[in-house]
Amino acid sequence: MPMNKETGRKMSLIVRILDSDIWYSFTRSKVTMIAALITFLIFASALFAPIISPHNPFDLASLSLMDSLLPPAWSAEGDPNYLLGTDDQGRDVLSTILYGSRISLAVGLVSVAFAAVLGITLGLIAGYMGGRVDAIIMRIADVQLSFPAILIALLIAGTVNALAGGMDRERSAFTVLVISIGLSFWVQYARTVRSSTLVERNKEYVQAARLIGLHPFLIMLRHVLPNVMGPVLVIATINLALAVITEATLSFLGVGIPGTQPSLGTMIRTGNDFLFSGEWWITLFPGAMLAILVLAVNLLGDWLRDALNPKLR
Amino acid sequence: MSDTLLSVKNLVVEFPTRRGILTAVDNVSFDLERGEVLGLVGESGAGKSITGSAVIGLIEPPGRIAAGTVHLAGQRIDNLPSEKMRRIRGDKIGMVFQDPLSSLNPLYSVAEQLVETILTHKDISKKQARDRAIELLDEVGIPAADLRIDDYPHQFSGGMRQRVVIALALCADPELIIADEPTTALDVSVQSQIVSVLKKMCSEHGASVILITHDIGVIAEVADRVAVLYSGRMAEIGPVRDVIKHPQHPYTKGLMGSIPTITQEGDRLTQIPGSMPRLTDRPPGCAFAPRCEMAMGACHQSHPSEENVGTARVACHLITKMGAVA
Amino acid sequence: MKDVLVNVENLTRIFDVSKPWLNRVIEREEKKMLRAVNDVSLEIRRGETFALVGESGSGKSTIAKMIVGLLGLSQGKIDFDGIDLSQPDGAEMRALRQRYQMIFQDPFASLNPRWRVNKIIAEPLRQFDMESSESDRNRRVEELLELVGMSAKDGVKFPHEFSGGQRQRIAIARALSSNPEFIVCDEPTSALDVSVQAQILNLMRDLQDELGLTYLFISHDLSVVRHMANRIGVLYLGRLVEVADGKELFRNPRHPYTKMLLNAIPDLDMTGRKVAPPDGEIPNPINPPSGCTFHPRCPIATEQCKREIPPIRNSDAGSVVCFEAVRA
Repeated sequence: MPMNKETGRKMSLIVRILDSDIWYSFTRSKVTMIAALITFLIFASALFAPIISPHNPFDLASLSLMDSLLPPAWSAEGDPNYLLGTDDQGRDVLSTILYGSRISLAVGLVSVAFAAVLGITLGLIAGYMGGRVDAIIMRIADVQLSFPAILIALLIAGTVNALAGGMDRERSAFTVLVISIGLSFWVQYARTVRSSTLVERNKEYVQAARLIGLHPFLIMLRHVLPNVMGPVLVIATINLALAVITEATLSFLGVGIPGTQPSLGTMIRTGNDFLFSGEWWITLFPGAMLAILVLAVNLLGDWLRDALNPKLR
Repeated sequence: MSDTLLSVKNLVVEFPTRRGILTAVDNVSFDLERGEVLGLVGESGAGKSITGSAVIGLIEPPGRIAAGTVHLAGQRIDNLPSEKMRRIRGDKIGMVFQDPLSSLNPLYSVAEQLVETILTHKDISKKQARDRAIELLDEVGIPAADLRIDDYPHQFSGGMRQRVVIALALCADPELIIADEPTTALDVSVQSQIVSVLKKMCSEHGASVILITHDIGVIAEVADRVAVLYSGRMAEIGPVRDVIKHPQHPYTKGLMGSIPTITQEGDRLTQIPGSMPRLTDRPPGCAFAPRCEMAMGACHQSHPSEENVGTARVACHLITKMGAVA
Repeated sequence: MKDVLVNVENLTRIFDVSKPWLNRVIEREEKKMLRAVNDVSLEIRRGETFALVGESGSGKSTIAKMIVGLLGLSQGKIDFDGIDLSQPDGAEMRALRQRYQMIFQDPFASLNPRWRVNKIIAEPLRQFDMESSESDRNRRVEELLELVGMSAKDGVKFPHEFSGGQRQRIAIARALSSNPEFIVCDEPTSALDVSVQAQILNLMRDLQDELGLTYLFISHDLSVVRHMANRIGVLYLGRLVEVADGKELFRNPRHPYTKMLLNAIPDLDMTGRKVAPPDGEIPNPINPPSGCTFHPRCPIATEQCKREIPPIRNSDAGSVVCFEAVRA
């Protein structure tokens, strides 16, 4: 059926999206659609955790040590009240997973946002200004890249925790985590944005803006930024998975979210202690949830990268 | 042996896209005589490059030749399996493209590339092939060819590189040369050099040329006949002098009038209103009708067929009806 | 008394194309300098179209960018309506910027792909505070779109929805929005098809007549230049070798390079004339020939030409830089 190009009329945004090549490639890939569905479900369940979760694992009053270390509901000693069993404090594993993924996702999203803002800003400045500014920023980036991200996050988080020993760890943990993960990831954004900026800077529309005397800051913000954002979305998506894993690792190693309001990683850490005594469910279920989340987000990121790549279209 | 080297009849090239089938070349026919230079001109999107690619079997899937035939020296080549077509391309067809940097492999010296090509097609010794290569480079006007033959492509200037590409195209002694925008990337003074080298080499080696370009000046200097394409269809084809000085088709007339020349007087260039329709938006009937001053009712309804008018063949309802225009 | 709008004196631009410092030290290489523009002086009179013609490496685009301030000068000075462009800053510079504009070669890169057309055209209006309200601005944008032969409704679309010729019209509309007196046109039609080129050239001439514009027209195409220009300057390797009145340059070219360029123009009138094609190619601008840089390709070069740089000889017909041409 030949397409009737309605270039004269303003199409609403929804129609434009549905008609676009990106949506088309999305609907063609079953794997991507399933991955998107799973991601959506996980996000939704995390968001609505207080509503859909059978218990509130952080309400100390509702916990009962009598119910601790119960296996999942389908096994012999299980309790149908606690579908996936309980941990050593009597917290329902399922509810804790729901609340825990909230924290994990929150850390992931905020740290990615932080890394993105930092990286995009530095990349724009480095690419547009060039010269010494560029050299300085890029050397810092190079140095940082020679350390693995986990190590950097560990260093920062560990140091802050050691220094602020007396501080209320529960409240600061989130901020410390976000900053340390964010600081370990900004370089990717900066590099990509910088190379796109280098290309766009020489284009005539930027020169036209310089010609009328527009301030370099405004040129970067209004003209260059919208045109270099493309790859950022792809990086951010894949980064989200990485951020969640990093948080889980840090929590597992003890410098992340403390045990009283656990994230998925903390749960895995807690459960680790009980693996050898046979209480496998405390580690396995949060671990599975983490793995599924990360896999789904990664697949989504892969598809997005291919869909946005003009050369493959 | 007949004089017609290449015969293209009713060629249709289609590209299936998710929005429907795109007909990039619609029912194009032309012949190429031995030793002749045929120019294929048109503006961007007219389909001239695709026609050239289709003739030598280089249309990438999912694009395909949907209809029509291509005969080279009496043998049908459009339906050959790719291996056979590849051999024919190597043996009988030489190609000169726009960007010499991508036609030549930057990692090998000119000598290696020329000698390898010669040896693939001729049963002679390496030394003989090298001598032949030096001879060719000399013929295309590379000074000190015996020394420069061992240089790498990046060590040559733009015009020299294009000469090397012409030598490479001719070293297998092909019958047909396809040159797709061979001068577009070059400076004006170099363009005229390359154009005359091309013409000289082809006539000396007995090769026929299909010269694809949007630059009518180049055609005027080099071609014997010229075909004008518009929106994938042939508008007019005839001897170059006649088509340029006495164009029949309204599009050709408009096109020739819009080119500024050294001798014209008068302040305004003829301009054709609007622009060539995109291939997805081709109007029914004659593709040029919406922009044509003299369009009649029939023009909007049916494709004009090609008719002989004087020395040219023209696809225009008006011409068919009224005959040649002075 | 000529009314000179733009006066360029001894303009020179040198680019440092040496390898990075570390490489130079290790490979023991000298610094390499590229003299893209070499001592160019010219005047552009109010209301005229002055064309700069040259091939690659001639420096024509570099000169254009220096005149509008996109590139700095290594030497020389540029006066706009009597004001030295290196002096003012702040508000004075802003007022000056309103008086000149530029149209670029690549219609695909000269419009921000993420901005709608009306925003693109309105940018100079905003920058120079030219209209008092949003609705006045919109009205002006619509006026400009119609002035360049497009429809007011095209404002809401994005650049990629338009063809090359239409995009160039949008670029012209943007250039006109600040009501400039002087427009630098850097190969405005080189990327366009021939029939579209005719539309744009006609449009530019009409606009010049209507609005009293002065153009600096940069091109490599002599036929286009003949059609558009009142006076023409020919550049070779960064040096202005000849300046003459439009049609006169074609009737009576004096510099051997100008003659070579004219001979290289294809014979579209099918006169069948046989001319020998030009000799050689443009040398590497990093290592130009000595003396008159054209001497290796010049049919009338003498020993003097190899040693010395010819001075500028001015006359009523224009100026030319050649020992032999003025001797004749």
